[in-house]
Amino acid sequence: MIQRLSDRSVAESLLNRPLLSRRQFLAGAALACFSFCTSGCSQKQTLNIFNYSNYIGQTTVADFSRDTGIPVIYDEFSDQDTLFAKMKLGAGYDLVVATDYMLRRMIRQKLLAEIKGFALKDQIMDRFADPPWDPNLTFSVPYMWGTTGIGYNKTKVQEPPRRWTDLWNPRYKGRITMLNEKRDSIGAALIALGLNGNTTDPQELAAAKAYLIKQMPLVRQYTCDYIDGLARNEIWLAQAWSGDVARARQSNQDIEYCLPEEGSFVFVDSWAIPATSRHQEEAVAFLNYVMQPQIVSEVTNATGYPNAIKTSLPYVDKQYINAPLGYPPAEMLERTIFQTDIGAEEKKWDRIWNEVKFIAHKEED
Amino acid sequence: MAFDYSAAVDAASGLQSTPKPTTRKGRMWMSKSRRTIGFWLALPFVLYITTFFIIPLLSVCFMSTEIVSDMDELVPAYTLSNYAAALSSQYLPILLRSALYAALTTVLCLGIGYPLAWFIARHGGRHKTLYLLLVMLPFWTSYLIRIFAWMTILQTEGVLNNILLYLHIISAPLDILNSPISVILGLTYGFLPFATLPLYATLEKLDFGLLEAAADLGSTPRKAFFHVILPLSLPGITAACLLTFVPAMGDFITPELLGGVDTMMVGNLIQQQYLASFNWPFGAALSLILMLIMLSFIALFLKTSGSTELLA
Repeated sequence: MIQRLSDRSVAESLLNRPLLSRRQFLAGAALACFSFCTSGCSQKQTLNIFNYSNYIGQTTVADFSRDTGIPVIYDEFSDQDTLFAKMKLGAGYDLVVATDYMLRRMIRQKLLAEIKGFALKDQIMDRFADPPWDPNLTFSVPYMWGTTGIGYNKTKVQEPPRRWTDLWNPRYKGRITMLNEKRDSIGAALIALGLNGNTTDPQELAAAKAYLIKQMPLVRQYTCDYIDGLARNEIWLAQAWSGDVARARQSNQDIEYCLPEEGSFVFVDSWAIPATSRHQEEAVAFLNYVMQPQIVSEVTNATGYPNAIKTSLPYVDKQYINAPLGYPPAEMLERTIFQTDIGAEEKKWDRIWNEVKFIAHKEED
Repeated sequence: MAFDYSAAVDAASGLQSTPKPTTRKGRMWMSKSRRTIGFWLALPFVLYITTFFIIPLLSVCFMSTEIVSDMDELVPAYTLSNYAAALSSQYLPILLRSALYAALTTVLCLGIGYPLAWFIARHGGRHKTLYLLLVMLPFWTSYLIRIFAWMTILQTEGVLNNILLYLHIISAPLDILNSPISVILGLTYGFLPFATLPLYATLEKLDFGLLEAAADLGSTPRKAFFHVILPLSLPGITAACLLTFVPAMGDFITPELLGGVDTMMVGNLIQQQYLASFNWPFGAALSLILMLIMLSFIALFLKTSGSTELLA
């Protein structure tokens, strides 16, 4: 009797399972997107763009499609490592936004196509016109730039942070976030210890790891999505990118930004065309559209990130000129360095970041 | 000296003595066509399993023996070093933590899901369908969006804290978000329907007259439940446990969004290898080990709960 009952109920339970599990649904959705993309690509020359989140104007993409008739599929990521992994997969994007050191890595691995026909090259800021990662800008078009620093809530901290070491202040336990981007988080620990922020020396890296583990009990999350948390008073001190802090400030006036005294990183994010792209003409058309001084200044005003077009300054919101959050004054920029391509040594950084995130335990006391 | 197989087979099956050879011929034709039909019926499934399960699984197995070159290319190396790294004791805590979170999630899902399923099955009446619909309703919205909703509920200045503060139940806001509590809560919330539905399916088919019979024979309601109802609903409990524990153990979205620095699960570790560190071989080794652990867990669980028919 029991046997029969159980047989039946097992069958019933299998039949009565929800029609779609979350996983199946996601897989189905991915498949749907894929088929949509492939069918779109072949017929309408759809442009596939992969950009950082919070890195475009509200209507930029729609305006471009309206003006040129080129449909765009616009996708976002929140850290460079995700972009790199997708590029290695050959994910079929036509235009991506990559950070300086990552560009070098992609160029080295022949993942990018030369950009031909970009019309506004002479309007790129002198500082970025001939960068070490891409001399003469053969493979990239500098788009937006900014600095890594500390975003903080001035009503929650006793005194404004001035140095990286302020992120190690036990008073703010559980209210600190660090970037889930190894080059920034490990880099900041290195700089805080007075070391080279691009080091490949195992001992220096070990010191940075120990310093990060020491910080762990105070850290709420390793995350690149902290804008909301800052704006909602959930996070008081966040290792942050300048433009993101500007964005949080738009909804919460208590948010301020500090570029640490010990020094920090300046980054340039550039457009690049993957070597596998089948719509390079459309990609260049988008570049010639989005980099126009008026258009790109709209992106700056919306995101808070300064752009790389020198003639766009007249259109930029005055609050961002000569301000730490926007275009920082020259003496501030002197304190910053670029992140450099460290080649195969990057694996050491990966290993350390793995160990901090997944193996280390916060030691409560 | 050639051995006559067909004669031997015929002799063994006693067919040689069959008086009507035409029947035999007919039977052979039947079985052949049946075999052909069987072949064509099975083909789509076999192709499906091969394409979407066996080949990917084999490629993951192969990948786990590769290494990543300095140019970030996967190079065949036929090495077991990735397994050695994955099995090193330093990853034990994160495995244990994942198992603990998944186990707690399972217990909570059973604890909430069983009474819920009981209520719908016994007291649902004509609203049964409506209640079941409500259980499944969350699936109509993306899981991500629902997790973001939990973030606004749990945050320091969020819905929960505001209500508790207003009612003077607490004097200072609770710091729940980004803690183990919020991860387990999120997992329980996410997998509750997976536990409730199989439990309901079992309880719905149960003959509750058995409770009366037990009472007639002098059993207290508590005794009747533990000695009659619970054993009979065991298959539902088993299915609920499996449908909760297995996906919860591999989940990574929930700890990523609701978790903090000390609540990472093995799913996050694997995701990091694939999407961030670009160390696919190590990620492949990790996922295969996780898979083996799960399989042995399922086998053990089914064996001890006596519901081996789920395996068949």
